[in-house]
Amino acid sequence: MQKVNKAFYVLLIIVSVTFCAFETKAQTACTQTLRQARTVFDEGRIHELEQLLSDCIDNGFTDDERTEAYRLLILAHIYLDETVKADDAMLELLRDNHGFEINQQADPAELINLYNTFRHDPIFFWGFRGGFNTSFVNVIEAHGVHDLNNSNASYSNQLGFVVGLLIEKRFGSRITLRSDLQYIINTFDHSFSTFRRTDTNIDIVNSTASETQNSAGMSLMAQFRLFPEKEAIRKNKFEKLNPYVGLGVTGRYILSSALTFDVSNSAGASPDGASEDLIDAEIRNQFNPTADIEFGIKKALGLMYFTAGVRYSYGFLDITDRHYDNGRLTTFFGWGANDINTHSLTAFIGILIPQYVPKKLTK
Amino acid sequence: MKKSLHIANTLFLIVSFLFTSCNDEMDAGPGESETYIKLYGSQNNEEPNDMLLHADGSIIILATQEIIVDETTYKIKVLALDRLGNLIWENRYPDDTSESEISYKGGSIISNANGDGYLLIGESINSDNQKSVLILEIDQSGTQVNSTEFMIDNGDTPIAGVGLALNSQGEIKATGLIGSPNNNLWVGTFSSNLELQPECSFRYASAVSDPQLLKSTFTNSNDEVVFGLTGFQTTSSRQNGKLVKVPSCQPIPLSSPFIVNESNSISYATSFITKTSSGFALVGTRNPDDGGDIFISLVNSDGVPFTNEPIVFNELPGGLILDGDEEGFSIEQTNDGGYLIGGSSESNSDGGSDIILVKINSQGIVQWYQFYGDQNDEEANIIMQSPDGGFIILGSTEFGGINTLILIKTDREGNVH
Repeated sequence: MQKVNKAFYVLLIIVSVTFCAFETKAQTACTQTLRQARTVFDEGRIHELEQLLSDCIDNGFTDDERTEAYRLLILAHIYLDETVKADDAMLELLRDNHGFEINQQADPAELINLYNTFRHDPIFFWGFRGGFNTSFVNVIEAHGVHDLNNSNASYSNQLGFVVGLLIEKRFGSRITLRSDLQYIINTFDHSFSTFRRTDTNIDIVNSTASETQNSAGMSLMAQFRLFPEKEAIRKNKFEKLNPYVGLGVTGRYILSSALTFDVSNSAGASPDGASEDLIDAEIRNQFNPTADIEFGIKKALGLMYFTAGVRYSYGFLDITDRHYDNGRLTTFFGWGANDINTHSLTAFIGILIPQYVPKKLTK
Repeated sequence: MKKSLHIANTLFLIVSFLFTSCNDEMDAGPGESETYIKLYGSQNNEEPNDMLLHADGSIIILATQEIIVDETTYKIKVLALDRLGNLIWENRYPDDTSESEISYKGGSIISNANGDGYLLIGESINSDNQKSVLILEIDQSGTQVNSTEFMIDNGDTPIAGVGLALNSQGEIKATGLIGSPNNNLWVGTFSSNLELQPECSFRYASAVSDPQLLKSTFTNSNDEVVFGLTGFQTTSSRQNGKLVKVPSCQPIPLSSPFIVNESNSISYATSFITKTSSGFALVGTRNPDDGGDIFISLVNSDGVPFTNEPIVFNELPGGLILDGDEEGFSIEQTNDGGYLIGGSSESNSDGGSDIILVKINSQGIVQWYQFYGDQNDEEANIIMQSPDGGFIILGSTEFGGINTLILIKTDREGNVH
């Protein structure tokens, strides 16, 4: 058995070395071919280029070499007035190198003109992102079990998180429309005093109800690039980050809303623990739409984009359906639900992957 | 570039405004709501005694606090609530500045003759453990403006005030229970400034053993004093209830029948009485020592039952069998001529005893029922119909192991939302 294993490893090494050697040899030969093609192009023997480059374009060039080879070939077809072949070669170039960009200063006008007759931008972007959020609670009307004429209750924000899949499509040089599918966890605390001592007026029952909402959301956002698109070479450092602001809406659907009580009762037992789900208890509405404002950047990383930013989501509907239940929440934990809307601030990072489908544009 | 930065700055200002626009409970204030649930507690056990409901929906609650330090003492606690159940004021009697060892226990509360304050009746226990009838008059902000105590046999025989009513002359009719070994009833008359009128104050034989007075006390158009009584029949060891009607300034009470035929071998312990359009309604517990059931008995103004047997609730619509311990504590005739009955039940699946409300029509058919509560023990002691047609339930719950007042305001079907 050991002998078989040893033979397998030796074979594997031989095959690997052989493959690398052939690969290196092919690359070296095609590099020389490209060098020769440049000379041929400079000498004006452009009708020889197609035959010279075809084998290495099919197999042998590195990515950068292949892009340059296509560029020479396209120019040759243009100068030979072979428009169909020039179009074909441009299409192959754009399919091969999604990130190919014209150099407005250096490239011949004919190449630039031809390039501009093709759809060379991504038709859409897709990606994913995730981040942390913190929630803010606005009380519309108070409805607690405790005395509301002298309430010292407050809400405090806790850390949650969000992950999502997104798709973007650009319209013109400044506007982008984006849609997200999100899974969101929001957490916030509701602290309040239920009773005070009758002799000293000091609080004796202090409760903190931590609410964790799990939501699924779908958003639609219009983004406005702060700087119009232009050649990367002409951008300053800030412009290269492609900063944008966005406005949009998110339809959130609260899947579950769990409440956990931490009660300190200096006079008796502390009714701690988890309540039943507030959705099951019909305390919370499930639909929680938000209006969103976002500021972010999209930094090119090779053929992908790194995106980061902050989003403020303003919940504009009251998410409370029912203020009291008939049992555990009220009589055991001493809690009633205020009418509230919730807002959140999210910091996120993500990746955007462009999807290219180059084609000849019709006039 | 400038324009872009201007956009970013504007958005920053909008977001900053949104951040600072969150209200807390005090900023937002109590919300208008048809229903609510409120808890009123402290470091002490508290027992609800009585409730007054004003036409504007505001409420006065009378309760008794049990204060355990070295010894157990009691204080009367009065809470004034707005129509949303939030506290306007609360006072304790004797007040907290008093260092005496006097205990006060609450009985019932009514509005005074002028309508500018309240009269409370209860029990005063002094440091020598002498028990007397206590009547307090407080103004609308809870400040004590007058008080009197009435002791019998120089304090050798305990007496506790239970009920209060005003007659047509504005005099105060007070009912009380004289303790063992006498077990007599007492009806006293006080002037509006709380001076006892001995010529119109009498002791009456209860004709039962271990009598308990029902706290609601009424006066009729003849200025007779009417109240309820429960106790063990002298002819048997079972409990039974009856209406007691005492003529004004006469020492002999009129006799009235028991609400259940005396030959019946089952106990009917009566807890509460309320006035109805055709007489009175009494509620209580059948067989309290053996898986009790809630019962009601409807009687005419002379205390004669309309039916031979009380209505007993041991099964509710939908097939819910009330097979746990149930107790009936309160009843109120509703605007539609039916009745709402409150008590406690162990037949709900949440554990502990829960508040139970049963709504019946004028024929005694159950229209709906509701449970409130969880694993704590809850009970409904006083129920009233609110001006908006909903119901107010004053009861108790063992929040954190301490007996705490609970007030529930429901809609017309007993729902809270």
